[in-house]
Order: sequence, then C-alpha cells, then structure tokens
Amino acid sequence: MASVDKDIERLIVRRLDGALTDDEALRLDRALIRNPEAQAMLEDYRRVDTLASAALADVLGGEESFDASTLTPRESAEAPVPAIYRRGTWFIPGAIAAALLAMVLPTPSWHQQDGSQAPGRTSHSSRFSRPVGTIDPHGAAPREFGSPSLQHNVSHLPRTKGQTVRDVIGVMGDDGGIYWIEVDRSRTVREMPKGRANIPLGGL
Amino acid sequence: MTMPLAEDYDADQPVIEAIQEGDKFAFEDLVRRHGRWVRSVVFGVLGDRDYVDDVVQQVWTTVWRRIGDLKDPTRWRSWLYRLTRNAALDAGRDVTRRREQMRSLLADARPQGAASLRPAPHDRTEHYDTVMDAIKGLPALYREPFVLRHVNGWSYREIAGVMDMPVDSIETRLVRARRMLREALQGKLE
Repeated sequence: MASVDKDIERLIVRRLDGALTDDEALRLDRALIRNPEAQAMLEDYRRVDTLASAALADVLGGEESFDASTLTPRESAEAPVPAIYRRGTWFIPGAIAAALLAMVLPTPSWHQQDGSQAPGRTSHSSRFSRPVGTIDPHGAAPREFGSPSLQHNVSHLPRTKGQTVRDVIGVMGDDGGIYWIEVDRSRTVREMPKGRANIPLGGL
Repeated sequence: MTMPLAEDYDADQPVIEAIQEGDKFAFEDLVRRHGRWVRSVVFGVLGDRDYVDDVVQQVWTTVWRRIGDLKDPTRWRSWLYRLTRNAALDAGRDVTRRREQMRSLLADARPQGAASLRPAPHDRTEHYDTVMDAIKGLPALYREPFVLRHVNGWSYREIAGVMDMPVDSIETRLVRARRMLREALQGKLE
C-alpha cells in the first residue's frame, strides 16, 4: 500500500466516484499498468464501496415519509396579530366588563343650560365608540326638578328629554377577527325651548 | 471555493417558500425528496443506526417549526444540513452520556463471567456487521461525506455545497475514508 503514490490513490478514488477527467483517466491507466499495487488498491477500494453501499442502503434506504397531519400550524404561518391582542385574553373580557359597567352606572343629571352634551359624554369620547342614532322622545314625560312651589311659569325653562345613544365598541379577537359590541345607553338631556337660546343662571 | 448548486436550489425554492407559508403538502414533498440525505447526515454524525429514526423525526419537526426563520430560501439546503448536524451532535452527546451511565450500572450489577448483553445479529450477514462496524469506526468528519456519497450518490460538489466546505476538502476526506476502511477490513472479508 505504501508504494502507491498519494496522487495515484486520489485518482483511483476519483475514478470510483466518477469524477475523473480524460487526462486523469489516461494517467491512472498508465499507473495501473505499471504498478500492480495500484491495481490491488483499486480492486480493494471498489470492493469497499460495493460492500459499504449495500450495508448503508440496508440501513438508510427506503422511502422517506413524514405524517404532516401531526404538525401544528406554525405561528409565522398565521396572520400577524398586534402584540396588544396577542399578549393575553384580558382585552375582550375587559371591554365587555367596561360596557356592562357603563350600562349599570346611574346616568348623572347635567345642569347645563345651553343644552350641550356633558363633558366626557360626547359622541366622540372614545375612538371605538360612535353614536348610531338618536331616538326622538316625543311623548316622553318631562322630568321635573325642584319643589312644586318653584314650578310656576316653566315655559321658558329648559325642558328635559330622554335620549338613547348606542355605543359600538370594536374589539379585535385572538383569531384576527373584529367583534362589535353594541351598548344602548339611555340618559336625560336638557333641551332649550325655541326662541330662548340662553337663560342666565340668575334667572332661575 | 464552494459553488452554490443553483440549479437544485432554484428547483426547490418554491417548495420552501410554500412551506414557509404553512403548506403541509409541500412539507411532505420536501421530506419525501430530501429525507434520505437528512437520514444520511444523522447516521454520518452518530455512526449508530439505533437512534437515527428519533433524530430524523426531531429534525423534521424542527424544520417545520423554524423554517419561517430562514431568510434566504436559496440557502435552504445548507440551513437544513446545519440543523440536522446539530440535532445529531446533540443526540450523540446524549447517547454517550446514557451509555456511560448504563455501563457503570451494568458493571455493578453483572455477575462475574456473565455474557455480554449485546443481542446477537439475527437477520444480517456477517459481512454486513463487519462493514458496518468499520464504517462506524470512521471519524465522523470522514464518515459524513462517505455516507452522503454512498447513500445518495452525490458528487463532490454537491457534498461540498451542503457541508459548506471546499470541494478539495471533501475529496481528501473521501480518499482518507476509503484508506481507513480498507485497513479496517483487511483480512476480514475472506
């Protein structure tokens, strides 16, 4: 074995691997004719290859398969969800609780004379809420304020009327869908009589 | 320098991209077409058939989970090779540790003169065991390209592309692997 040149050994391996060029094949053939040990090396390496291929095919051969039904969907394969919604499930219950709280809490009576909506109760108080419509409370019994002794000529006083506002809250769920929560809120607002735009406080 | 196997990479790139989008059928196709060389790499690193199935299964599960992290789909083959090799190396360390624990337990428990607990070969030829032992005896750095060459029939360039090594280094390792196998099998196959 030692008498076979390393370059010839490389050519032998290249022949077995099908990597010889024409020039290299010529050189190898000449070496094989001149050197019986090179010829023996070629035969030994060829036998090693044959036996190794058979043994490895027995171990590693066959059709490869993988039951992909066992795989769970990858996170990266799903639609991206903003982190605020991904971090927990607190957001949806929280929004529902807030909506229920808004329904349960008593509506304050706003003593504003100009009939404008109370501060913090505007129709655009929340980026998620918007008024859907106003119910005209014709026929609704006006609410009375103060003792009966003070109820004299009330035609110039602001009248009260009921008003229902529907808040619509949009919540993005974990599945990426948007859920709408509609909450109707009834409240009483003051309405100025026609022709009496402003009444000074002292007039009452 | 290692040349990328552009033709192969281009052919597989749509499959990789489909998998990145969550296509399980594309994933099954990838396993079917490339599972063999992944198995070869695992065996090449471990040199032990017993644990190959488990490691290969783990590799494909990891591929499915992490293929979204692959930034350059044209380099998926090198990525898969590194992932496979690391999984096999981890498994190899684990196997070695467990074997040492088992050996110490058996040494304490086995009575004097008891026979080895290793099961006798039953369905394979004597040559098979001799050859497999010789292949197992190769250092992993020679065994890996040797197995890739003999199981998958890859060229030097293909092996070099996957292992991200120069073609000359692969050729040198294949020469040395043959030389060592010839020496290991000398006089044993008569």
